[in-house]
Amino acid sequence: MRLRQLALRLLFLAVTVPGICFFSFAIMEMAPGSPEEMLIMQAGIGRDPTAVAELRAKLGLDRPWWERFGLWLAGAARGDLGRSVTTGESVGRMVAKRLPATLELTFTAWLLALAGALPMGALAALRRGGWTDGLLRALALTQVSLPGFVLGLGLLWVFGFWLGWVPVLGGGVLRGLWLPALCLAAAMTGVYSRMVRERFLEVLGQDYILLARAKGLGPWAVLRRHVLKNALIPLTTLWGMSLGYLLGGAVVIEVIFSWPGVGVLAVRAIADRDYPVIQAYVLLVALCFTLINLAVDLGYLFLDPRVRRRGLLRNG
Amino acid sequence: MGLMLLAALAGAWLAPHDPLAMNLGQGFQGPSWSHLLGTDALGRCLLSRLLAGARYSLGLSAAVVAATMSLGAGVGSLAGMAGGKVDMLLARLIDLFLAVPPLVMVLGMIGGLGPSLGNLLLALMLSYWAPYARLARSMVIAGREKEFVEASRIAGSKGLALFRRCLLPQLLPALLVLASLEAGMMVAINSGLSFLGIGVQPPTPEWGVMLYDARLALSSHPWALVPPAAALCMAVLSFNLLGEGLRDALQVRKVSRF
Repeated sequence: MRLRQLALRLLFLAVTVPGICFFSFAIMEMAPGSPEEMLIMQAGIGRDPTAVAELRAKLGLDRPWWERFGLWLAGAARGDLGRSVTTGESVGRMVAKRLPATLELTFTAWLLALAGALPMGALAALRRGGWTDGLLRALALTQVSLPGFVLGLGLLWVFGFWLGWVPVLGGGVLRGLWLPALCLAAAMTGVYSRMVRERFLEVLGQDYILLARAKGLGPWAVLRRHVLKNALIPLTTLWGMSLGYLLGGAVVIEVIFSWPGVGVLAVRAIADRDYPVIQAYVLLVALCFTLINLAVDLGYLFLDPRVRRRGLLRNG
Repeated sequence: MGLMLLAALAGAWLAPHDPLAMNLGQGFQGPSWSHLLGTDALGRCLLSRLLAGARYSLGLSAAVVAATMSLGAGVGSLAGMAGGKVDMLLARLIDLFLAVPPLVMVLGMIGGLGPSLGNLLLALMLSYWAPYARLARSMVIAGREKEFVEASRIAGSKGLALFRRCLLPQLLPALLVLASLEAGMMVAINSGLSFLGIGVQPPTPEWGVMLYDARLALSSHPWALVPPAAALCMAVLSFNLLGEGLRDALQVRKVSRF
């Protein structure tokens, strides 16, 4: 029953989201030394006990943690995520300014990965055993093995400094985006092209393909009508989920290419112990990821009629 | 295929596992190019740093993988063996951890605790254990039903002994395959974090840190980039090949990184 699966999924969401919120909140709790001491020291006032006590009361930090969690949660729901400890800006605004850039990068990389993996995998499967296959598989293996940031550094040097083709710092959508997106997409392309290849091989070996050919359908028609759908639909869940993983991986790429996104913000915040920013980053990214997964699962429910009957098996 | 990957692995491992034979950890030499791999911006011998760094890049990753594997497999097996309410609870917990991008968790934890080696280890361990748990659990559940397990149970072994004798041997190959695949990823993540300044801290030689140093002088002296980059790639590649070779050799089927 589709409804039941939907309900289960939403229930799961009801557990994950608070979990994420709590985790984000807990980040500040984990800090060695109490938060108010930390704030005071960062303000440069020195550890004056009266000041600490005042600040404590003012920030409501002397109340039990569940109250504080509630307050924080209420603030977050309103969009008020506190102020950056280093710059004093509203964290909400800081993140909002940079989020689009990160989303741009991640989304582009995601699409690129698909655009690359599909033809690679399909071609390798169709030419199985030949040198095209071998070459493409080797390429996939290299893509998987080269850590994105190593690739990034290398390509940045080649294209940025040596050839001078690419602006080295940021650079807007058209000129500055394609190299970082490519690097981010690289590993994913490697993984996916192999999966596509496997799926294609599986499907191509099925009887109904033989039947279609026997009926007289030309190879392209067979491809379009039977192979593509059957091979690819099971992969969509993974492809969708990978968007979330890319969100995380974007951090390093952003730093290398000085891409003005949310990841760079987070890294700096960690170095500066800017807790509100870190919390906001974790909260936002984790939530995005969860939402994306939800969307993907739901989409899959609609795409594959078999799933509706069998039920979603998330645990493999 | 098997031979090739053994060679690849040995190649990547034999060289770095010479740290004892080496005498310069990180000497501050003058910036001359009379060193085998050159020197970095501060004049430290790159080769020495590379070899010493292997201990951190590879060793730390291996330690993390071992720890996560144990933790994950432990939880998963417990869930599978116990069944009932315990299983349900643990299974939800596993799902929960699988639902969040682990890198974000690591960033959050290090953000809260502060960057240090110990915290790094802890954060990585707590974020990456879920895949092992899921694998262990599903294998235990599947294996429980098999006939030879029933036979053992009738013969009298119970609980822990049962698990150890029957299920664990089944479990190990799959876990090892997953571990070696994840190890490659872990090396990359480890170095990536250090590169960002969040993992191992400079001046400790670690390949990610070396890349960070190299980045600062990228336009004028690009060479410093090459040794750590090459080492990293080789290491990840070796682990991947190892994992895949193991998978083919041991005929494990259900293991993939997702």
